[in-house]
Amino acid sequence: MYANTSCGKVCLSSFSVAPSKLKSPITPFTPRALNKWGIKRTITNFVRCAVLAQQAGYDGVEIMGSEGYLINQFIVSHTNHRKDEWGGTYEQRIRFPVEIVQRTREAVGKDFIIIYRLSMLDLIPNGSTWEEVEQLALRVETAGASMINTGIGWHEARVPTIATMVPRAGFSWVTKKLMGKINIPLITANRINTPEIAEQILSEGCADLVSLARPFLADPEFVKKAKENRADEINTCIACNQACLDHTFSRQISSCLVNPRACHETELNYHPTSNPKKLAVVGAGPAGLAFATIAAQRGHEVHLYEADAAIGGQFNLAKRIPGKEEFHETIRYFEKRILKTGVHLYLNTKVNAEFLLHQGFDEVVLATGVSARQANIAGEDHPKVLTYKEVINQQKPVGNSVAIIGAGGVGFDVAEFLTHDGTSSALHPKLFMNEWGIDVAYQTGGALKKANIIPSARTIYLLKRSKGKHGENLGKTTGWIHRSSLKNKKVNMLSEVTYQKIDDQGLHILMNNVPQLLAVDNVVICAGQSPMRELQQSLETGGAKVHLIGGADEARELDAKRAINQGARLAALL
Amino acid sequence: MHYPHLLTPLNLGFTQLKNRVIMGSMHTGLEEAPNGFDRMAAYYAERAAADVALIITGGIAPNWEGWVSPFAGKLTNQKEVRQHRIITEAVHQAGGKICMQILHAGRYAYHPFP
Ligand SMILES: Cc1cc2nc3c(=O)[nH]c(=O)nc-3n(C[C@H](O)[C@H](O)[C@H](O)COP(=O)(O)O)c2cc1C
Ligand code: SF4
Repeated sequence: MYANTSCGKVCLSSFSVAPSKLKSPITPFTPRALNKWGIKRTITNFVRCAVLAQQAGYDGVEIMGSEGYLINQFIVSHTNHRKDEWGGTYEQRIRFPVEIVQRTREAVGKDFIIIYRLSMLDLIPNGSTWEEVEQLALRVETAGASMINTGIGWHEARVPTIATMVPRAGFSWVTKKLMGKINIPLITANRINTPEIAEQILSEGCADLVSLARPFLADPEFVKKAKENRADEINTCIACNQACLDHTFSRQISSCLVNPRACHETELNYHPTSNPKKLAVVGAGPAGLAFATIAAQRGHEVHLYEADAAIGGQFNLAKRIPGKEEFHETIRYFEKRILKTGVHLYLNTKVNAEFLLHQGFDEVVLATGVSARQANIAGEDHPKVLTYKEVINQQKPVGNSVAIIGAGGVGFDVAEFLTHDGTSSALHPKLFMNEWGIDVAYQTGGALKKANIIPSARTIYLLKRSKGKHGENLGKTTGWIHRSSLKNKKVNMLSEVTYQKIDDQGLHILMNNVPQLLAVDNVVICAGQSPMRELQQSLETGGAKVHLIGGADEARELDAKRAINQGARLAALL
Repeated sequence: MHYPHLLTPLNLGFTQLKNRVIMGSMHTGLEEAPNGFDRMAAYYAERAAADVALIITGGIAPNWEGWVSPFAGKLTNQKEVRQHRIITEAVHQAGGKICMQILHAGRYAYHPFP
């Protein structure tokens, strides 16, 4: 699921334990096999932990039996090679979780919630079969669980299970298979991010309850807004993983790209201002939108100027990339916030310094974003050269063979865009399951099958100057997905490329000092961007107080997380 | 009602959930942060106050071998019980319910010791 966990030199530990001495593909060390005494002690520790949780005032516990953690490692023969009574037959392999649940129930009494999170779809070779999943569910119920929650995919699975290309509620079919087989309530999970989709799967009988994790980082008031029929005001989780899971895996505190307050509630607050100001914001991209709406919410008079015909800035690029459709929701959220908070929005309005200096603004916030950088290659003015904006926003015609110069986030997006031709598996669950080799017929343990990939109609070269793997600087938990997706589409990824020139024949490059011609119809430049802040100087000369946020401040990569966070934090201060 | 299934309470016998929405488990790093318990209390209470039926905490280890990350949250003694009470009291005061997730990482455990 999240794979790609890397770890520094310092963690060569032999302290981790498992049913058998088998290293996982995503950790650098081999665990010690628990002996029988160790297993008993571990079960006792689970029970002690539940009892202490009860003493601490919790209403219950959830026993984590999925995602490939210890309990899951006992259940599956792939990781449990034991010969004693804790291994071998399925009945013996599930003895560990069943004893944990049973002994926990005995210890906490009957008035305490016990949820068991059951791995219903392992997505690894030799995972549990569906019959085994049912058998475990029954045993866990008998052992005393109050509810069963759904776990999808081990961390080491090479299938996306929560990232944004997973269709909404894309795994609710798994939980549905278990409905009616047991008598305790069932919870379904993963990529349920709107009240509509939640209502839909409940009404279709996929589960008794829904679990939403990240959507509560994006908006603490998800349920309240649904209840008050204000679903269009929900700040929707776009499943980017950039500020939550990526942070967890790089050991930073989680937050949320669209809601920087998440997990920072004690420190970042948007209190009403006691000193209302008249503020100008130039640019309605992520940074400008975050700043404008929060400042207006606090009671400032905010005027927001956007040169384009629509708000959104770089989100208008992202939302068109197959598998990134969720960005539409963020734009919708901000549209609604602009209305609710009374931001004065001026579209199709390019302002100059003189105008801003004569409107009596107390302060001016420049959120003017970035301009695409040139690659500085001979022939860059050739008609076959396109900018990424021309390809994605303006949808200019693109030929059958394309070289993309620059393999950062934008280069990857352009490659996704050009290899898909309009069909996004994020919107078609069946297509998604086929593309990633998920067997909805559940014919094998783990439910994997051969992936069935719709080939790209175009030949694509994704080129970079630097050394190393493509996509290394993309998100820690999602980079591998983008890389596999493009590999599946047979995109040619070349590193350490020297660009020579572009002409009628195509793009001339050097690879290991050997000249090569890529005979392509088009060349798309994704060579980075520079901050746009030309207004700054004249405004400051004219005596205005100016702030730079988002890409206008720092444009190394298009970084919406940084942009929104910076806009929000400035708005909280002014 | 706009979301009749979603907003139907669920009777568990000894307790009731006010609707069908659970906040799923997320290990956020606050478990290990300075002032982490106060910060988690504020974070969870805000969600509880806005009507989520039941919150599940991020994974907490039942012993140190099961740590997901170095010095991650664990619950093994009375001192730690007192810390967790900061969370449960805040959530209950906000009118919510909260379960603690017990997670033993097994071979996915992450230890910093050389
Ligand atoms: C930052 C982060 C931390 C997580 N930590 C846990 C965890 O400790 N235990 C667990 O069972 N699941 C954990 N998960 C998985 C979530 O519970 C959930 O299954 C997943 O995010 C998909 O649901 P969602 O689309 O509603 O977010 C975590 C997810 C995220 C994003
Ligand atoms: S950072 Fe992205 S994935 Fe994580 S909660 Fe926020 S929107 Fe969702």
